[in-house]
Amino acid sequence: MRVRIIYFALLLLFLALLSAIVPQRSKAQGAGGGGGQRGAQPAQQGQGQQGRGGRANTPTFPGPPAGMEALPIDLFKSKNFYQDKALWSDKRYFRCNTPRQITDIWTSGRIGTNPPTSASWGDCNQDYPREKILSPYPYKTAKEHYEAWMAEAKKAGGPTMYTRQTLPEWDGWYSRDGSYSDSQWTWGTINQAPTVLSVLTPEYQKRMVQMNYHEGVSNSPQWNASFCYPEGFMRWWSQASAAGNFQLTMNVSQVQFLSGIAANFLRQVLIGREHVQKVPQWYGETVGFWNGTTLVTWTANVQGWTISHSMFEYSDKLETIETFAPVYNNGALVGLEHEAIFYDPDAFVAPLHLTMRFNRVAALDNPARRYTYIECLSNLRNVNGRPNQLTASDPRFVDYYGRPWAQNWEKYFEVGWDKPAEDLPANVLDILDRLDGKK
Amino acid sequence: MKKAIFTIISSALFITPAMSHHSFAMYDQTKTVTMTGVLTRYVAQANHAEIHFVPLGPDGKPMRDSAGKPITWGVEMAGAAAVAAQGITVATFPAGTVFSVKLNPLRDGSNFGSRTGAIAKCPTGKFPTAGKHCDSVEGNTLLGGDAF
Repeated sequence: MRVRIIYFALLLLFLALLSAIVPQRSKAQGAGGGGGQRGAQPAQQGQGQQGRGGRANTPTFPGPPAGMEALPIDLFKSKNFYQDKALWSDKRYFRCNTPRQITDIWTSGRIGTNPPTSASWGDCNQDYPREKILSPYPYKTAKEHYEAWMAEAKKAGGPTMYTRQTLPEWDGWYSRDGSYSDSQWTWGTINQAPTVLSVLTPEYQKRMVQMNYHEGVSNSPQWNASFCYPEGFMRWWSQASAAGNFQLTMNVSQVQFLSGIAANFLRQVLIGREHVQKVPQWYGETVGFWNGTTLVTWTANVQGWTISHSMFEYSDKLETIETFAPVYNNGALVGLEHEAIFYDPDAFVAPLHLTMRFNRVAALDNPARRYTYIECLSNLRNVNGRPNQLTASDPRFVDYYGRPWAQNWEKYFEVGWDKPAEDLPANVLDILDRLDGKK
Repeated sequence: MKKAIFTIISSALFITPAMSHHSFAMYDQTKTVTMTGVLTRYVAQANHAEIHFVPLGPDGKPMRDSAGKPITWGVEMAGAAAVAAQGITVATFPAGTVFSVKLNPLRDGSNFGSRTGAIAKCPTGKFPTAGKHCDSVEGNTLLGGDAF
């Protein structure tokens, strides 16, 4: 019996690893296998993923799938993508690559031997339906939506007012439910690029194709974390931000979500209050109310920014309505069902929609879990238009862990001074001497 | 027993993919260089930890510039917490540690790279013979992988 239980536990561990690391790969390979791809090749071997983490490679298709004809001009042949606007709605323009595949096309080795024209094709059958991205609700604005749901709550005798004694106990650590990966269109992993473009206004279509071109063709990815830019509000729904794996703490007047892996996401739902900020904030201002055990939130005052990774930008008119509803199993809270509706009349042609489940994986008093507050430090700078890691020889390099303030004084104000010598640690010098045969 | 099983299941649920914070397009992923060096500083940076080191040349001696000053290289890895789980920490990699690493070098030729695969750590006080690496030294430790 004990052995069976251990096997079961190990199987769970294996499945969790698999779903966490290779969702994109397995999906693409599965679809590719069923699609009768012409010229399909095995996926390339992982390239150095162990050392720095990374993403599983996607299959490489050197030519268009059977029955699919390449366009004379596409993203990878274009001399000026702005002139190709009529082709942006054709998935062949992007060689059926998802936004994420476009982002990774150079680093995954899928750009081919004669870049950029040798860029690989993705799976033309892979997509997530536009109608599932669009909001199913009739509301035109977040305000209208929030007020309608508030009216519903009032009609039922709400909004629910909790005391410290009656407040739902949601505190804990949460993690995204991997089974929802198949619907996370904001990750850029499941859609053809034109499907994403189809929910954007012309200006924001242009901006997204611009990003597609410069990531896929110019090989100039401008990821926020590369330069320690803010993540921005919409990145809460991106895959790599890990923002959906959060620590939740709550009291009667506030529910707080803390998460992040490259930069910190701090979201606070202010219960029973109204928006008062007059300027956009990186993560907006969120108010909310309780309708029974469901938390309803409205975020506004968001700084316009980019979700990056060959996806889209959004404006400072972005607002969201979200709900968090508890999921129980045998009376115990096991997770939160989350729904988000995105309103941005500047960027989106209609309100958009996304759901996710967050599994409660630990209580706050878990002995091992800690939130590591991220201080993003980077020596990446654009060099000739592309991000590059600076080294100490570059005057723009900042030696963050080497007393940079003192290095500045020494460089500009202590030149020629007779002062104590500072060199490598003594034990390092000793080892170097031994290797040199001096000892 | 129950506690052990809970730990295993909990571990499975806590796992998230090790994501990179920036694109690695700046590294030449068609080239993998194997280097052995003497650690001068371990930088436990949250986003991407770094090891700075004086590399050994083909003759097994520290590489130096024309003035005789040791040349330094750097290699970046996953975040400090992630590599700590592999046993690579400030404590296990103090200054003076002799180790070998495979890396994709920067395209611009600067002395920096991105780690690929395992790190081989030489036993204290032992060095590889000229042209070899720590994986050839008896008693070496492999970290972050099963093979070097």
